[in-house]
Amino acid sequence: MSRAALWCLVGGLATGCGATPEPTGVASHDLLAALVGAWRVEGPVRSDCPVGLERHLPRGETIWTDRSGLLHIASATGETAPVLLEPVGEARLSRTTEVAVPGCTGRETLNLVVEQLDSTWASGLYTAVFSHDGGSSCAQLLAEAELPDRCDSAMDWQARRL
Amino acid sequence: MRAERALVVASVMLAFAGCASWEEDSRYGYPVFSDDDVGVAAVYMTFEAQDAVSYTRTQNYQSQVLMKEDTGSARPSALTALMTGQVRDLFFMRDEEYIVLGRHDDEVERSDGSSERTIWYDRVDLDGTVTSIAGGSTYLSMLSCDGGASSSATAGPLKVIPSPDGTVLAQFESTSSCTERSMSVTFLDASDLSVLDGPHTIPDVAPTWSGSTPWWATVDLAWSDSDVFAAGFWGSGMTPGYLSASTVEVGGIVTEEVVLSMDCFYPPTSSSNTSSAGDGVQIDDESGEINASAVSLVGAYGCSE
Repeated sequence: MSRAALWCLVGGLATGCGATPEPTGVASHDLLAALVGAWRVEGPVRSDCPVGLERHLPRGETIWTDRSGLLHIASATGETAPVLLEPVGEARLSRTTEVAVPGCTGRETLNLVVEQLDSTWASGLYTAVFSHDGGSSCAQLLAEAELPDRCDSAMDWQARRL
Repeated sequence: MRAERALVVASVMLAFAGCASWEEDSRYGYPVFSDDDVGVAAVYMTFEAQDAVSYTRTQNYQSQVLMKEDTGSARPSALTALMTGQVRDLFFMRDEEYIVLGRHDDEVERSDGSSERTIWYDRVDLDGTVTSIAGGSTYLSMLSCDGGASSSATAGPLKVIPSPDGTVLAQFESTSSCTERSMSVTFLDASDLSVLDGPHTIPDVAPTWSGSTPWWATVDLAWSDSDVFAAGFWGSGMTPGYLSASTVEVGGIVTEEVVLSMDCFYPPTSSSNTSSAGDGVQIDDESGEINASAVSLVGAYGCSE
């Protein structure tokens, strides 16, 4: 019972059970405008997360759209979960989601770093980190469920504009 | 202490009750123009969905081909029964009176950290007759050379793409391992699926290495001309906007290190979600209504130079 609940907690964190980020308005709109469009995305993924919690950008044909100042990245086939990120600098988009239950606050932090971007190519690093607030309830429950206190996924992504 | 833990678990369950169950769901998707821009094909999908508030996990897809021979807004008619798997490719070759449907099922992780899935390609005649072109077996979809710590998508590993005039099917297959990769293309007569030519080996480029792990170059596939099939390689140090490619002509002439503009590779043939005039086609997820004059985010088929 507790194992299922924890998977659901972490899974919920991983997939956005929590507040949708609001754009700050101070980040680079140029970055968002330059990323909007259709891209083929590929790249190796590294992860120490358990099966089911590994995270990566949607692969293959993807559509990147501006949703009220947030970048929405969706697979053309709908196979992979979409990602919603907020521009937080000239070359970075991010999203942090926290979910709190009594005695335990979990956190998911997504980061999309854009290292190269021109009219035809883009590349960079996408990371997803799951962690918690260090509360004893979190640690104990995660241990009971044989889940790690923290796990990381990283994708060295490359994209070419379609 | 036990009571406290029970309270925590109960709260978690309450907060995430919606996350736990899989529900039946469905939607329309993947609209494409026919090769002559006159008709539209699309897919109706059923699947299981698990709601996690702002995100939905999905699995166990079934797909049904829809088709109409006009571009009006009415929902296309069902052409087939539901078939196992999710659409990966759809091409409507109206001039030659068939549709190519590519499907795959859910990815399954293997004990070595790689993943595999079953892939199917079918020809669907416009009377609804379904004929298998290739597939039905398991293909490596993600390759891991370090026990699952990292992995990357494999090329293909199976794709079928009709020539721009619809008379020939290019059947691309690849196998990838931690030591080698091989790719081939076989040309089929689209009318009876007999082999016209091939298989022909497609020359590859060397992988890049991360320690002892090879990263095979991502491959773009397309018909670059009416009778030339091309495999373009990412990361080959080309001028921006171009790819180094290997090309195979129907008839067997194989050429390496051909420089092709990137726009040659998408769309890969004359049927896609962008018309020859550059319009896009969309389908309403819920109603199946068609919008054939949407803004397209990609160019029309063909090389700009």
